Amino acid sequence: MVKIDSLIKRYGDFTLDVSMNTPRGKVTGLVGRNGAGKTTTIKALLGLIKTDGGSVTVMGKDAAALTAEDRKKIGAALAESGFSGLLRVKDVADILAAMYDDADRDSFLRICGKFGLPDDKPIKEFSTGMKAKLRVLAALSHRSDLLIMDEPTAGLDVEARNEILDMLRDYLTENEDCSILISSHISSDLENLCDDIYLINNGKIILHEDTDRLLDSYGVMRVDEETYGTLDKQHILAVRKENFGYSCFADDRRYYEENCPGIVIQKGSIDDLILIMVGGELL
Amino acid sequence: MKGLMVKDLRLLFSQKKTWITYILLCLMMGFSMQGAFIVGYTVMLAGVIGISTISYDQADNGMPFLFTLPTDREGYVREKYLLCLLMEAAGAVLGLAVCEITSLIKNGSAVPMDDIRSAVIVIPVMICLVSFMTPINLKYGAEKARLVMMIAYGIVGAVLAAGLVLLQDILPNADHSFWVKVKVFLDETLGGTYFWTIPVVLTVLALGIMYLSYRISVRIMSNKEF
Repeated sequence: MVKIDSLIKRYGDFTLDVSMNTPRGKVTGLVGRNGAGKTTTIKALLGLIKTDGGSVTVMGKDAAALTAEDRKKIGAALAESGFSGLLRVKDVADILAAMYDDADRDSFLRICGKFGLPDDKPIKEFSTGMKAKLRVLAALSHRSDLLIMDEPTAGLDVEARNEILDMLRDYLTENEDCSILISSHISSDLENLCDDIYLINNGKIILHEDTDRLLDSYGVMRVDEETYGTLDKQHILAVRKENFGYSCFADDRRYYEENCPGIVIQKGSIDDLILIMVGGELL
Repeated sequence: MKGLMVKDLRLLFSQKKTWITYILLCLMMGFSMQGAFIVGYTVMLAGVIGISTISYDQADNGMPFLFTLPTDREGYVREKYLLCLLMEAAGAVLGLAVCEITSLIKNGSAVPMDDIRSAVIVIPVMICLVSFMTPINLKYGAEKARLVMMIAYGIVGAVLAAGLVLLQDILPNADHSFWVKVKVFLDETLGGTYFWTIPVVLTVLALGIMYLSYRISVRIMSNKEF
């Protein structure tokens, strides 16, 4: 559904250089710190910015050449951009019904009501969580084939984040062929949702892995300096200097369990992945 | 484009204070002005209100989201020009209605056709104004556009003043037979068989300028990044 091949985008000193795929029916996560290049990547595939090289293909077409008809198959929620604050939910319902063949005004209003969004109040008076829910619900309103979500849960409390993630899970259950590309710097949001995860840092993809394999086979070892010196490093992807010695992120937890019995190795999490691979040194 | 039009109309109708002020202004002008001069004002204000939807779109970083919706850059521009034309047409109808009603109340008679024709001539000027303002608003955003417009009006004023000074030097030496022909033509078109020629010709010219402005706006939007 989305194919990014050696996409280059330069902003002053910053250079984005990424390649990634989102297959049909899969949920792909793009994780990284703020400023890593997640939003730029998403803007490129929505045709919102010009690229300096490479190719970005969305549903088989160049992203820059997407027509209004093509965009009817895409639902997008951006982190800091949405409908004007002067509009109300009932206005949004009318706009969506006029824009998309599959958007149903009454059904949209009913779902918004279910999530506590009043239909007669200007959006500018909504809380951050309410605005985020509206952005996601608008993206889900028209049975799109591709959902692109840029930090849909940023700045929200746990309850609001879970509500949004539940919306996405429900949508996936009802639309099995739908693909989702979701970016976030909140790792726990992605662990239970994504089929695969890309880790981006300083404009480059530094890791791509299936989420199940990442959580099951990858591991974190915390060792002192002496142990680190003698440690077999063939499966270690990155290390981070700590007060006690080193945190090591490895791509084969079982290898160390079997071959280094004195070392405690825990299952990896996406938080560890970000902390060690982004904050540490890649081997 | 239908969705964008619905969005803009919803945005405009949400501005109740703007509309109340607009209607009150129309009525005040209708009762205080003679003839149909009010039409020029109602058309101009309606056009400016139409253009203001660009600033609503740009507010709160709204543009990136707007272009994730089923539209493209040219469709967006097309909708803005269509909206402004519709607003100006509605402004003209409203202005004519107000001046007719107030004339009937004040004078017990309808506004003379001469006055209406003079007022209608202002409409192409207002179309040109919108054609000038729209690309500037799209390129610079509503805030910077105000400054650019002020500078542009200053330049236009200075050029016109210089032109008038120049004409004063040229006219005494001009070929008078040419100006006599111009006067005869104007007399015919203003009062005779060709009563509506000038408004129609000016409107066609203004629409031509608007098309040129539209192409410029499309180019501006095509080069924009969000």
